Amino acid sequence: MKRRDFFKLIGVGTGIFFAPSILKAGTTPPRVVIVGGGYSGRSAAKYLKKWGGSSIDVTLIDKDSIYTSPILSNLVLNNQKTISQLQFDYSAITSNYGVKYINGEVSSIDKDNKKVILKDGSIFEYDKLILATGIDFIKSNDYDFNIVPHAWIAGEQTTLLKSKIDSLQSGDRFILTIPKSPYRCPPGPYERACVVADYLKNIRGVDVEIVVLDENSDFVVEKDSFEPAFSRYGIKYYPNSKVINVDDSNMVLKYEESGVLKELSARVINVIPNQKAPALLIDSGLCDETNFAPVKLINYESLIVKDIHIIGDSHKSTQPKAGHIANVEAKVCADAILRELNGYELYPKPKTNSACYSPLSSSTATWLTAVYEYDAATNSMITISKDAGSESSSNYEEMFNWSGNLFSDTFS
Amino acid sequence: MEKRVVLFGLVAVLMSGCGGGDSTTTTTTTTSTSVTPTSLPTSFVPNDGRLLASNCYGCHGTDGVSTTKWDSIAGEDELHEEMFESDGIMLAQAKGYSDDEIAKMEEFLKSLPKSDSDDDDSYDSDDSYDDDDDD
Repeated sequence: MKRRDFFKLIGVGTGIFFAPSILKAGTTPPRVVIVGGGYSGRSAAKYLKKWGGSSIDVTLIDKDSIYTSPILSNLVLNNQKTISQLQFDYSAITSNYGVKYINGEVSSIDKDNKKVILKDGSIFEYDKLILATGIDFIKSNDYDFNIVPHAWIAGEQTTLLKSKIDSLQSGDRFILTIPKSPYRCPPGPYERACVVADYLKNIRGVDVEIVVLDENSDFVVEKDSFEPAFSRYGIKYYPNSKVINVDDSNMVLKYEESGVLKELSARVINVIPNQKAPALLIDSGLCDETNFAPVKLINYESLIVKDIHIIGDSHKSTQPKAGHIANVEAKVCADAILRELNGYELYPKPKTNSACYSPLSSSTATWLTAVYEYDAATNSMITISKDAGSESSSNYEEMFNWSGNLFSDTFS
Repeated sequence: MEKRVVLFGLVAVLMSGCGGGDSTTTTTTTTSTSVTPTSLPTSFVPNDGRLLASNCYGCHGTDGVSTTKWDSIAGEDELHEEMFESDGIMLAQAKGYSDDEIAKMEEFLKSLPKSDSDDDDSYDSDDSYDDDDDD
């Protein structure tokens, strides 16, 4: 007898009450607990319920009751978007899909007993756990993000960076640093440099020196679009430049450029630090030496711990760490979990895709897209197709057609 | 709806029984929904075409119903032609799928009710995606 048939037999769904001891014996719908309510976690919750309905119990835990989208957040810096236009609560997935939302912070995972423990002491048992926990930062040294913001997790940090950019005057210097790949949103730092340069020069009309220090050896993506834009804006670009020390008292940045130690002061410094999976995953033994979590890419289940799935920016693969593809990874994961829990074979060759528009000014944008396919022999996602656009005003308009549907598919 | 309220009440009891304190029960009951969406299934049935088609939703909306000027693809019965007649991002995406995969997507999408937003005015006449020749 399948679990759901037994379920019908005992009358669950017809309002009959039964004892918690029976619940614990496994007669309730399978429980999926999701940690993290960004693009991947929110999409996983929605599609588990959309496709699994009342046959599955889905609880999403996030410490913030409002999520701010990093996608389009650079447009807050130049007044093209307000932060509230990028914020989403949990009302849609709770009311439309029956997902249970818990406003809480996870402190640990009891892998052996399949429990998630929150900082307030509450405990959530799971049959399947999805960790959609995004990124954490690797700081060069101890400094204050309120003085040197990252603005790479959107929200208060975004508005803080905006206020600092708005304080810049002619003759000031602004430094932006780009982390070593892999990091969240590969085009994002280059996009930010262009948007800020355009804003300062063409909207505010102030002459600020903009310096970009890139730990990578070259533009990570879309060089054909970003390099000419950097040249047009007069952005000083230094590849192979690694942040060594951030002095937030004197606003001095020490960095190593191609092995040579240098330092530079600035009125505003925006260090986007190197990235890793959050401590919860590392402390739970779910990550390897890369500080991201290796998974079976057919279903995003951890290669280390059974029944824990890691999607989005926290997992390790060749796919970009970005919101659009996180939404798709979530659907692959949700489908695979539902197939497994219901005794079906997994879909053998799941595909994912990515699309991303990047503004280069307050009226132009470019784009990047790719399709990936699961390869069982190598447990990797192979690039099947990819392309990039070029800067245009029509792409700027298209950017909002793209983001509008991505927002609705993820958050509505 | 009443059924779901009962079930959620039960979950709160269970949480307490699992070692959670009062705060757990309070949090659970105050933040969980008590609404049972009526349009959701009661069981899971796998569908390869549905999974593949869900790759389209980031740009074309959930179940292919667009909320922007971009095309809705719900009810689409000429998917292959539509994909390869385009350019830019859409053409790059089209090249990423086999004919068999596209056929499976179409089989699922055409089973969905056609959306009002899938018309020529919503897309092509607006100097929108199909007219983009940036690449």
